[in-house]
Order: sequence, then structure tokens, then C-alpha cells
Amino acid sequence: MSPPEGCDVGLRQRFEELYLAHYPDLLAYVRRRTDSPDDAADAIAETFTTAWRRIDELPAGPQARLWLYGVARRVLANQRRGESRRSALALRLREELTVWDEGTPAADQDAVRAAFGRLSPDDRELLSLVSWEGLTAPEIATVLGCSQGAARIRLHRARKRLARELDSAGLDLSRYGSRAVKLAEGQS
Amino acid sequence: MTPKIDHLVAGLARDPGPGLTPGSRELLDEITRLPAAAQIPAAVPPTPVPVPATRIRKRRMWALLPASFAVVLAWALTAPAQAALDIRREGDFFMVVVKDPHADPRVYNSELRSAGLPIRIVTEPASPSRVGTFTTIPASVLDTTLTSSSTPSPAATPTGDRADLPWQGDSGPIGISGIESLGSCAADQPCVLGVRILATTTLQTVISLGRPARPGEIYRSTARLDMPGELLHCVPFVNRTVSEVRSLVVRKGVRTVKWVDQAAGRGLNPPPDSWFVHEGWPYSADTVLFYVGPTQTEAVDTC
Repeated sequence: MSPPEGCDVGLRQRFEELYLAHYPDLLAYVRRRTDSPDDAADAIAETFTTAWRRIDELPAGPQARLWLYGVARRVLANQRRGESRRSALALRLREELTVWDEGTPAADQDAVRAAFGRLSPDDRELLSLVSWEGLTAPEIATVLGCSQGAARIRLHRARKRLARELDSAGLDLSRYGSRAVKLAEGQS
Repeated sequence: MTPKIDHLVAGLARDPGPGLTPGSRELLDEITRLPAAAQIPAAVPPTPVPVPATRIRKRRMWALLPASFAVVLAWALTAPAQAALDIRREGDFFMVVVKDPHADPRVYNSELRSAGLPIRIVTEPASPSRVGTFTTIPASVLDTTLTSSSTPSPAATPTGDRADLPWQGDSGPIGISGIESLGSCAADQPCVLGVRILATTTLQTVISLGRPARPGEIYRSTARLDMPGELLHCVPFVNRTVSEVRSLVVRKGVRTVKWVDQAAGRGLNPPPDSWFVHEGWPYSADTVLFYVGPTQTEAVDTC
């Protein structure tokens, strides 16, 4: 992977370090929010293309990952409207993700998934950032561009709304929850 | 409640995927083949400075020409010889025309800064119908919200996905936040690479414009092969056999065809001649990509 002609070697090196450090997390982020390997490949390609264009704005350290999540979030929003698609990019990656998908069994969590699906996109994203990406409220505030207090309040409300959805679907959170915890921890 | 709710949600997560793979390293190389944009001051909205208006041209015959063609001619005749961009104030708008589509983005940014414009421009190789268009939706400088917590941006509005896209809001008379492309080269009109920007906008954004690709350069923005302006527009190929379509594109000057098994998502080199073509995409100036399968698809040709 030699630097292309005319490329600033310092920039390329910095980008490569960031890319290698954060690519797996960003791949997980987009995979969990897309329905097809093609969409995931498009989204991750677009996210890192944006990062490369703005390499001089990318924060250092752990903040870089949050910055990239923020970019990926907007890329996915564009993609859902069908306005961001790059068929020629990342062909090989697309193939790899398709093959990977074939070996991924679907989780047996239909009732919870349905309740989760009834939440607003904002609520889903807040809960996902906590449970899927493992972010804290202050980190979520950075990704979403809101204050830490607002992130905490919105997160609290999102949890309450999901609990209400589960309850209205006849799911006993205290019992179902413990089963789901085991499922989530691979103890089923 | 909180731990249980969070664990329930955690159980819904798909697996994280394969991580770093040869394909991801290939993507790294593809991305860094483009020049990175240079830094511009992002924290302070620039103050627009006056730019001389275009001279009013009074030749009566011009009234018969399409307006965009007249604009192109005016620029060609009056633009500074060395600039990569031509930036003009026209009424309530700035007209920014890309004169050198292969220039370093830092040159564009320098010229935009000189004119007091808050946007940045990058160009990307695009298939014919995408040249001159936005190759991605202009991204707001969302990053100001990530680096400066004191000033909430529209992204902080908790009302759904559309709320965090300032250019999707009240679009006004000329489109996205007062920014629109000057046009595509796909139509039967002169090719114009550029943007028209409402002079009052202070939106800091990166505009990505499709430009003609150099030989061998992989397109970074494409439309399907059967779309207007592309190689096989109104040329039937959907559900034709691989051998038929191979002959067809070779006659049209294509030197390399990439075949992908649509169901499996795997490259095929080559597929069985009897397989059927489902979908086609431009890849580079002399290369096309077809999704194929052993059976016919429900898709049809566009015309």
C-alpha cells in the first residue's frame, strides 16, 4: 500500500492509522444499521471518504471514533433517502460482506425487535449507541451534537418508551429481561 | 430497569462483521487516491466580499440560446486565465464554475476563501451522467457540533433523521440550503461544472462534484448503465445472456467486463455464457460491471 503519487505522506499515514484503528468499529456500526451488505459497504466507503477529505478536522485520540460515528450516522440518513450510492467503490469489500452475511444466523428476539422497531429513529439510535457501541452519555452527546444533559434526558426517555412498548406487547420486562440478558450474554 | 433494557437492546445487535479484511485495505487505497481537502477556518463564518458582477451582454441573438449556455460562454470569454474556479456575483447568487476539474482542492478552497464563500469544493471522477452533479449530498459542517459543544447545530434537534440534515429543511426557491449544481453534462447542453449559491448563505459545507474521469480512473459516482447519458441507455441488455451482452459492450468500446454473481455477491471470472444479466453499472471509462445470475430477473430494461 504505497502512497499514491502526489499524496501528502504525512496525511496518508495519519489517515491509515485512524482507518486501521477504527474501521472494525465503524463496520460494526454500519452493519447494525443497514439491511444489506451492499448498503453497509457503500456506507463505510462513504464515511471514510468523508474522513479523508476532512483529515485536517479529524480530532485526535478517542474523539476520532465519535467523530466518525457522527459522519456515518449522516451517511446512513442520506442512504435511506437513496441519495448516496457508489456502486463502483469497494467491490471486493461488498463481496466479503455478502459472504460473511451468509454465515450469520438471525437472532431469536422477535418480540423485543418488534418493540424496538416501533420506537422513533432517534430513540433507537440513542439506545443502540449505548448497547451496541458501548458509548456513555457524554460520548453520545458528542456523536449527536447535543449537550450532555440533553443526551442523558433523551436516553432516559428512550429507555422508558421501550419499556412501555414491551409492556404493551405483553412482555414482562422482569422475566423476559432476565432471559434476554442470558441470550445477550450467550448463556442460553 | 436500565440494565435490563440495555441488555435487551444489546441482544438485538448484529455481529460486528469481519473486521479488517483484504477488501477493507483495498478500500483504504481507493480512498487515498483522492487528494485530501486542505484545512479552512471553520469556526468563524466568513464575511462575503463583493465580487464584480458579470457584464451585461446585449447581443440580441443570445436571447435565443438556453440560459445556461449563455452563462458558459460568458465565463469562457471573461474568466481569469489562471484560476481553477470562476466566481461571480450575479444578483442574489454567487456562481462558481469549476474551470479546472483536476485541480487540487486546496486551490479551490483558497479561491473560495478569497471570495468570502464558506463552502469547499472537491471533485470526483464520475460516470457520464453524473458529471456536473453533486456526487453526494452536501455535508453540513456537522463537525463544528463535534468540536464545539457551545453552539448546538440543527443536528441536535431531536425530531428524526431529517432534522439532522440542514440541507433537507425548508429548501426555498433554489433547493438545498440555497446551493445547487449548475447542471449535468448528460443533457444536450454544454457541460457546466459548478454551483450556484445563495449569497446570504453562511452554511459551511463540502460540495462534491462529479468530474470526467481520467483514463483508467475508477468512477466514484455512477448511475446505472441504462440511465440517460450512460453507455447502455435504451440498449436492451437486462435478461440477455452473458455472451450476448459481452459482445454488445465490446462493440461499444468496453475493454474489461467485471461479472458479479448477484445472489452470492461474488466476482465471477468468467460466468457461464448462458447466465443472464440482471443489472449493469459503469466502473471506469473502459470497464463495466454486470450483476448476473443463472436465471432471469424480474427487472426490465428502462426503455
